[in-house]
Amino acid sequence: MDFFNYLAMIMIVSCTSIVQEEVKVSSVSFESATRGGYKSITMYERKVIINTNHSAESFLLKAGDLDQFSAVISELELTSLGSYHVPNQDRHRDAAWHSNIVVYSEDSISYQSQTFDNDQAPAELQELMELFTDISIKYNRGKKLF
Amino acid sequence: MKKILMMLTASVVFFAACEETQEVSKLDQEVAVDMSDFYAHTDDGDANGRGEAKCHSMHVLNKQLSENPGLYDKMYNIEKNARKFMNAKKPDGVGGGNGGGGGTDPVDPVDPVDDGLGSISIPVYVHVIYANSQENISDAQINSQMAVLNADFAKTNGDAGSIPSEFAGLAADTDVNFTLAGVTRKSSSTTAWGTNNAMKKSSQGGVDAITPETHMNMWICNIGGGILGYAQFPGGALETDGVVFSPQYCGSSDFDTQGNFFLDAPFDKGRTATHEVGHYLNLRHIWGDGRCRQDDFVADTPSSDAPNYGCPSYPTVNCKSTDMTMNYMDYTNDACMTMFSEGQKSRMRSIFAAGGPRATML
Repeated sequence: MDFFNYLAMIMIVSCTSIVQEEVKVSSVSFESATRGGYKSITMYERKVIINTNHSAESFLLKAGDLDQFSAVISELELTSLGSYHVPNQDRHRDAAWHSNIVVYSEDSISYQSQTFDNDQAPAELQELMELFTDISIKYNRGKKLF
Repeated sequence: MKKILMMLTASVVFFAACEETQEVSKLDQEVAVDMSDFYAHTDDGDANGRGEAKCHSMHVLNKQLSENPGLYDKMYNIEKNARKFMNAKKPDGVGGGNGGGGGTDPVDPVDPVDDGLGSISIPVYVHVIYANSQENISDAQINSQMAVLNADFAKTNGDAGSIPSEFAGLAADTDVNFTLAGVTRKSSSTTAWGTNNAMKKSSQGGVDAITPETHMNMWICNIGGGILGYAQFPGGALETDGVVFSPQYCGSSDFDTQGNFFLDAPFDKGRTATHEVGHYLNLRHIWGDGRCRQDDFVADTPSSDAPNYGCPSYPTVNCKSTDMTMNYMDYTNDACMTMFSEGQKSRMRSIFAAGGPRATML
């Protein structure tokens, strides 16, 4: 059984045509890095994988958490992910971590947000970010990951 | 229905973004300096490999321009000034200016044209704000940081010989040097200052900047949150102008003859300050804070799509060219950073030219 057993929508837009496609999502990652630090949280095959400075731990995702993620992901327009407005640019001068969200489809296509400041995700991704934060605390022994 | 509505909306936005791109191009034709690739805030959103990213990217840029025209104008003017200066310095005179030179640079024979600015000396005030004795770093440790800055900016760093031949000819003596004007020390109960500039304000328990119009201010205090250091680009508020970094990343173990410096490897060679001062002098990250098509506005630094970390092997290839991983503006370990490029030198020096945002420092 697939981890995210639903179809997300994508739109292929060019200067001459628009085509709508359906995509089966295989994993979702939040990744954050700065000079001297790296953190990520990945939902993949019913697991949550938490990686801090390249030391990874894997936990089995509880059913309720899986459902929550599935619901939020199914509302995303994947091809718009890279165009959402990024509110702050403190990372350009090292005052924030460089973060992004990547959604992978089962056919190995990745849909990536623009890079954003660690605590300043695009408004459209806030709900997903809150879920990542909640999950990371829940599975990371109560410690906040980011 | 919702999906269909959003699809229609997206198509309108998409075509509007294409039209906005054309409008920007018209505006750029009115000035002698090519500013067509200028960005203030956005990443190159080539997120999905489907080819529509350029129009999306321009849409975002123009959205931000409309939201904050004052900030954008300021950054645009600083960038335009920098390009005028750099164009004037080119031997073929591209850009139409005559700079302040025309002859061979007597300081650096590799550098073909003297920019007329001479040696640039930057006086530095260091503010040490400490929560414990370890963070109250010694004068010797501060002096070691000054020595590293001077060596790195003059290309006299001992590890410059490790630069691969592909890039060795581009390594620059920037002819910028730093002198210690004074050190202030303040005890504080704050253990992690964050990045909201509180350490720069006495009203918030920090230390106010001293004559930032003529001096670089350097705050050394524990930032926390995994941030080693941060900077302010030229053109920002004077009261927060300067660089900040945590005490364990100040100075170099190479100068620690007594074994009592407070340092944290692998960022223990003073290159955090070199990197942040690069930002203070208007350098962007070498990967342009975006993907392959987003530039750092320096011609001789290869395009890259992301920072490099650790000590990358040579050659590291991204965006169809070898990354300049040993550049101070990448994210590698201190021991693996060894150079600024000639293009970065020109960009840094441009801010001191007449009309530049740090011209008052000369």
